[in-house]
Formats: sequence, C-alpha cells, structure tokens
Amino acid sequence: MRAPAIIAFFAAALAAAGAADAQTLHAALTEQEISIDRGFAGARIILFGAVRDTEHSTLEGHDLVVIVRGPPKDFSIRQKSRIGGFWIAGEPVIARAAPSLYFVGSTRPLAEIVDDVQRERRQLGAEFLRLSFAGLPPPPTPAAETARPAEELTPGQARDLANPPPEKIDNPAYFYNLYRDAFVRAMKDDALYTEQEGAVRFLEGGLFQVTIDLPATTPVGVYRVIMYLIENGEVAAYRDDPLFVNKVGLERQIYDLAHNRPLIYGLICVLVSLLAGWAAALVLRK
Amino acid sequence: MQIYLPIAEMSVNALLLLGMGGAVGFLSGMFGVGGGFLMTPLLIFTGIPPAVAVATEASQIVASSVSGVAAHWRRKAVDPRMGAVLVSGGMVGSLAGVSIFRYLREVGQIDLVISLAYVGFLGAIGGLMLIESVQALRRGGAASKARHRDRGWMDALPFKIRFYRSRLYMSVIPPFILGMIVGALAAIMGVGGGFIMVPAMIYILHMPTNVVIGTSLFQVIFVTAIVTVLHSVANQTVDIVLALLLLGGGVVGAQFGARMGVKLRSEQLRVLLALLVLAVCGRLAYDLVAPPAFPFDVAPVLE
Repeated sequence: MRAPAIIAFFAAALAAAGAADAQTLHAALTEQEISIDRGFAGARIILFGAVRDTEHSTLEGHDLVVIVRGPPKDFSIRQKSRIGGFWIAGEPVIARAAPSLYFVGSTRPLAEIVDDVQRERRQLGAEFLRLSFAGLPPPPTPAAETARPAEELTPGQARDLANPPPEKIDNPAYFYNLYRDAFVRAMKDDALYTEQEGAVRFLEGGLFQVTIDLPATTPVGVYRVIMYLIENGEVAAYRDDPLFVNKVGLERQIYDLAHNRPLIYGLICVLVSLLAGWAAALVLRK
Repeated sequence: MQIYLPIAEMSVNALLLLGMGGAVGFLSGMFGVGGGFLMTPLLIFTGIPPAVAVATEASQIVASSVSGVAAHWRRKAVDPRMGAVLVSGGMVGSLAGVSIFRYLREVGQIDLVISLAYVGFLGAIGGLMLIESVQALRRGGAASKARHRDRGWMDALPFKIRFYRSRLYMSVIPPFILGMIVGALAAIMGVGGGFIMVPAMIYILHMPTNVVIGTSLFQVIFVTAIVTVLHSVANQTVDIVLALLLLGGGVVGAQFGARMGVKLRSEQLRVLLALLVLAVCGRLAYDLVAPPAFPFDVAPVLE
C-alpha cells in the first residue's frame, strides 16, 4: 500500500436535527483528493474529526456512523445457469446509479446503535441500500397457468414459476431481494463494498478517528463521505463532504489518450512494440 | 513491486508479469511458436480481464515477432507477394474479428466466447502436438517426409498469380481466406496465428519450408499490428503499461530460449510443451463447466 493519504477534519458547524445546537460535528478538509498514480495499490484514508456537545460532558451514549459512497454507476447483473454443460450468464438486470463503492464504519455494530426503521430511512448498511433495477423478472405467482413465454426467464426462474416454493408465492419483492443480495455480495467479493464495525474510534476530547481502506480497483470520480452522530438511536448531527479520486500524471494521460484519441494511442502502441522488438534483437544478438 | 495498469484499472505485481513474459518468451524462442496462445490464458488466470488480455497480447506479439523476421528477411526467406496476399486477407479477417469482439462485449458474453475458443483450439493444437511429438520421439528424431498431396481442386480456382520466392503459380483465393481466418482468430483470441499458418502453408499451400517461417512472421507482424490498432479504436482495451511489462520479459526470454533451443532441441521437450498446452486447455475447460461458487455475473455497464 501507498503511504496513507491523511484527511483531517476540523471545525465547521452544522445545524443538528432535533436537539437545538447541542451537538455539532466539526470537519474541514486539508487534503481532499486521492491520486491514482504508478504505484497505486489501494489507499488507506484516516479521518479525524471532532464532536462538540454542549449538553453533555462526555460522549457516552453517542455513536458515529461513517458512510463513503463512490460515484453512481450502472451495473449489469446476470444469473448463471447451466446450458449444454457450460455455465452461461443470462439476461441482464441493470442496477441503475448504484454506488460503485460503499463503505460503512461505526463505533459499534449498526444493529446495536439504530433500529431497522432508521437504517431503512438512512440506508445504513449494504442490506438497506435502496437500489433501482431495470429488467427485473415479474414476481412468481401461484397461477401456474399464466401464459408467460419461457424464453424470457432463466431455467431456474422458469422452474420456480411452474412450481414456486411456498415462501416465494405472491412475494413481489422476491426478485428485487434476489438481485439486490446478489449485487451486494458480488461487490463485497470485489472488496468494493465493505462494512467495518470498530472502524470509528472516539479519542480524547471529543475527537474521533475513522480508518477507511479503498481497494486498488476503486473507481475514479466524486465520492461522498457522510457522517451521522447517533444519540439514543436518533440522528443528532449529520455531515456530507466530497472526496475526489483521480488518476494523475502519466497514468491519467495514458488513460485519456486511449479513450479520447484511440487511433493515435493504438498506433503509438504498435510503434513502441516495433521499436522494443527491434532494440531487443539488436542488443541481445551480439 | 506493484504497478497500476491504467487501462485494466487494477494493480499487478510487476515482477510477476516480467517473469511470465520471460517464461513464455523462453518457450517461444525455443520452439519457434508465437506464445500468444499461452500468454493470453495465463494473463486471464492472473486476473486480467479477458478483453484487456487479448488486445494487449496482440501488441506484445508484434514485438516478439519483429526480432525473428529481420533475420529471415536478410536470408531472403520471406515471400513478400504471398505475405501481401495473406495480410490483405488478414485485414478483412481482423476487422470482422474486432467487430464480433465488440458485439460480444456489449452483450456481456466475451469472456465465455474467449474461453470456449481457447478450449477448442488448445485442445486441438495440444492434441496434434502431442501426437506429432510422440511420433517424433518414437522415430528417434529422424525427420519425417512431407507428404505431397494432390492439388487438383485448388488448381481450378481463378485469379492465379506467380509467387516467385515460393516458386508457385496459384490462385490468390486460398491464401486470402487463410489470412482472413488467422486475422479473425488474432482479433478474438489474442494470438499470432503462427501455429495455424505454418502447417497450413506447408500442407495446404505447398510452400517450400525455407520461406514458410519467415513469411508467417511477416504476416503475423502486420496482422497483430492491425489488430492492436483496431482493438484500441473499437474497444479501448489495449494497456500499454501491461504490454511493456510483458515485452520486457518476453524479448529477453525469447533470446535465451532460441539459444537453448539450438543446443537442446529434443523431442522430449516438445512432448512437455504439448502437455503444457493441454493442461492450460484443461484448466480453462474446468472453469467453464464447474459450478460457480457464486451464480451471478456483476459488471459495470460499458458506456
């Protein structure tokens, strides 16, 4: 890993929802950009911040939840089924504008800090992410005689349609849950979605520290760093700051050239290969 | 030592890639094979997306073929006319191949098709190599006689021209079609095509063996160069940093391999190479038919 890019958050007051100015989340950024260069193999971001609570003398009973959301992108999700001996992916379901990276860190396990209603409302945790899908198959119903062309569904779905197990009948959310869980699991496998309890630590004097690891495949773009201060299961203060991840230097120029001037880039690649082959033959064949 | 690949958008171990390039280059120098058909699957095994592996490998083959062709050209062991016909076919074939590639990428089935194509080819080539090298082993190294087949049906084809260096007078249609097939394969699989081109030149076109290798290299260089540019324009999946890493190891390995090949040319090594090819084929086939740990494919939608 590269040397850590340290982002320090200092004072800037935000109105707290509910309790009138009793708590404030302080933050300012000294370094707001992650640069992807030649040696990039992921980045560790350490956030420092402060909570000022004029009502209480300590931060007992307070918890902090930090969420980092990468730029929204469309993803295709395809269920694999066995066709002719091979495992082949079927028709895509598109997750529209899903976060391309998702990190949630907290002082304690999320389930202990807030109830499911709050988690649902604020989308705290990957299982509570609200995703928008295009192309979801229609939910299975007990009416097996409904004429629905079998080619539209994968063999597994067709089987389920003909003989739906009891828990799937009349469940309109069945396919939404199936694809949402599949998407979250895939992103977790790629280390793009991570959940870390204990990533947020309160230090002395109302200071807190958050450690966030971004993988090498982290996407380029504008991220959101969202912080929630939780007191007694309610959100007492909130902050939303941007974070920029960009390719820089030669890597950026190569990428831009390859995408904006692909013909020239291709010719350069060929030229470089020709010269390299020639040079190697000359040098090594004394 | 990690290096970030700007097009593949991932981080790789530079030493690992140099080593891989060196090992495959060594084999290619020793046996006179292109190496693309080993390098591309190896890149895929190390986690490089198949679309990037195929496109980048094409540019690496350009480099490794250049050093070979210069020597053959000096000895007049290249038939430029035949090469030109082959390359023209190659241009048409690679255009078709890259278009097919782009379409498959858009419908999200490119990984599957590349794997299937490799399983088919490596299986066929590996099997043939195994049979041929076992036979050579049994003969104790004596060269086999090339069988001269009756060329009747090809003589009836139109558009004949003279190929001086090959001492042939034949229709341009068979070499054009051969070039087309090899061009399409180069575009879809990231190979040079020499392993098809050389036997086809000997047994189908009946070219004399002294010009076969040089002309094949000539064709490979042009076609892989064209494929590199086409892939860059159509798919933007050529990663120059990856190519340079592989090149570095590859040309060095090829020189050592060529020297060792002269000294140790032995039938046992050819059997080993055939077995290696079959092993790679087996691994790819297994990945295709084994039940996946996770039955979903998730990928960002291409813009």
